[in-house]
Amino acid sequence: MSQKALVIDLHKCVGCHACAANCKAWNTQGEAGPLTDTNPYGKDPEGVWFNRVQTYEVGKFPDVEVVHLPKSCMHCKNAPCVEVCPTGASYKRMEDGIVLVNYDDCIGCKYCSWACPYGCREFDEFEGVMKKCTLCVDRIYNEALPEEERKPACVITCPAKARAFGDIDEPDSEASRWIAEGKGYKLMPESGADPSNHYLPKRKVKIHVDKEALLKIAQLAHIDMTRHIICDSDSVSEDVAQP
Amino acid sequence: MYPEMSLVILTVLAGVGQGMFILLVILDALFLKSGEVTPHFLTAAAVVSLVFPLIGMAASFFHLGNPMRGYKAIFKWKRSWLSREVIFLPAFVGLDMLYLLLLYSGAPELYRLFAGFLGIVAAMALYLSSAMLYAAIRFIKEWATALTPINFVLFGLTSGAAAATAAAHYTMPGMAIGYLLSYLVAFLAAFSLVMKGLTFQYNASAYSDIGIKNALGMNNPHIRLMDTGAAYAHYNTKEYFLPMTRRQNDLRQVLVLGISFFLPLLMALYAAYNPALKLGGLFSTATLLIVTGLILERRLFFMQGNHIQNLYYGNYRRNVVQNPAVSKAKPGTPQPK
Repeated sequence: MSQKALVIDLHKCVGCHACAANCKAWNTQGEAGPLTDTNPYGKDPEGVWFNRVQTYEVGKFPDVEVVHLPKSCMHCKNAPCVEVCPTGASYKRMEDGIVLVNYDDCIGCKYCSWACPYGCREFDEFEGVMKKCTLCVDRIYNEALPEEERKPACVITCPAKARAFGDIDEPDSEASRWIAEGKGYKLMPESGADPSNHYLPKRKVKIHVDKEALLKIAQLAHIDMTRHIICDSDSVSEDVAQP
Repeated sequence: MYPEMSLVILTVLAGVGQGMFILLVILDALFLKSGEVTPHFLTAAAVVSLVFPLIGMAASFFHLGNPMRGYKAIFKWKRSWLSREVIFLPAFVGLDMLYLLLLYSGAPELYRLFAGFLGIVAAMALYLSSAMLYAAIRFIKEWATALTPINFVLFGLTSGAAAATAAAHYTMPGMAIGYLLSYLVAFLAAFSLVMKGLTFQYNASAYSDIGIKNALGMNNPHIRLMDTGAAYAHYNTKEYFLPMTRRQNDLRQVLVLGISFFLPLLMALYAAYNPALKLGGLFSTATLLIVTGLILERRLFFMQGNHIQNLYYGNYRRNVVQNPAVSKAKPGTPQPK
């Protein structure tokens, strides 16, 4: 079996929404498009997105960190959305495990979106069909594109290089290596859906800040650091990020 | 979940028709020969039991994004409850029509009762498939319970029995069967009242095992949503959630219990203690009350459904009364997710 999926490194993600924006830009003109918008220039703009980023505060001050969670279809191995589809419009491809919607068969009953625990399907009011991430199926096999660009739009655009794409069932792929090295995990494994997309957790980071070096840099930059450094050398040299 | 009116009307009105049909076929089999029910009553009741699901069926098309392709929904009957519902709804309506035709044309009793029996099977299958459609979604705790199919059948039978009793009082005034039916309505209304009360109690504390920690995969007790990533509402915050305050929730629960079951129960009891009266108007009112109440009930059924997708948007269980165990718990004790 082959299972194409995304691996997202939450440690590198800076929450810039570039993946979401580029996803929308590619897919609205790609084979899965258009990703229609309601009232795009009006008071309450709203539209179909395959990829959305939420931001959370994890922990309590001062042991606190910000986590950006980009979330698109997980291409579950045991996809609950496919099971409930009454027409068979939602299907999982045998050859690469991508979950797709056949727009010609979709009646727009929204039942698949109820069955998805991740909320990764969005209804297109204008076309009356359910839309979702295709893992850029029109890019990854597209021979008109140069070989290095045959990746999902979100992966290519990520400025922090926080996303990897590949076959998670193949141990040598980039995605599998990321999962193995970065201790990749799945969101809500309890859902029973067996999602394919993996996330790499935030890592502990310790940066040693030497007071002497800091003062030297300040001197070079003509900053009077004696007015800024009010703490003692111990607390300056310790820590930055928390577990 | 967002209560879509087309689905509310479909499930409530089809339920009335099914309940009424089941009851009238049973009355036909038991009492037509002895003359305790008249063919006139059966015909009138069969017509009414046909009108309700037809309105529901018409409403269901407004739910679909592409109604013209609706027929394709029958293809995956092996695995999807929705597909089964789409099959059993027209099957029930067709058998109801066939029964009415055989009744009207005076066909042999055996054929008519056989069509009626098949109609009952289709009606029960339709109750089950439309309830299981909701109960099969394991990510909505309030729906994924045995109470859902029980309630769908029970409330359908209650509303159907009230409508059949009204028809009996209009078409066979003064006959014993109308009086007997008022006992049935009273019993079903009382049973429904208890079951819906239990359901509200269950919903108040139905937490999913999956919490925000699982949703994010982070083992930290303090997780707070800072940004949903969109400036305005979108599909994920609208389809899965409709805001409702705790006060509104309580008020709606009282209204549902009162309008759909308690007032009709009182009316049926009044009828049961006054056998001589002609009470067609009373039972028509009771039917109207039950149907109105059930429309409120079905709306609340949707709104109380908490999808775990809402965890990502900070909306999980925002609509439901807080679990008393949580509010009374001392600080520091583990709380349900």
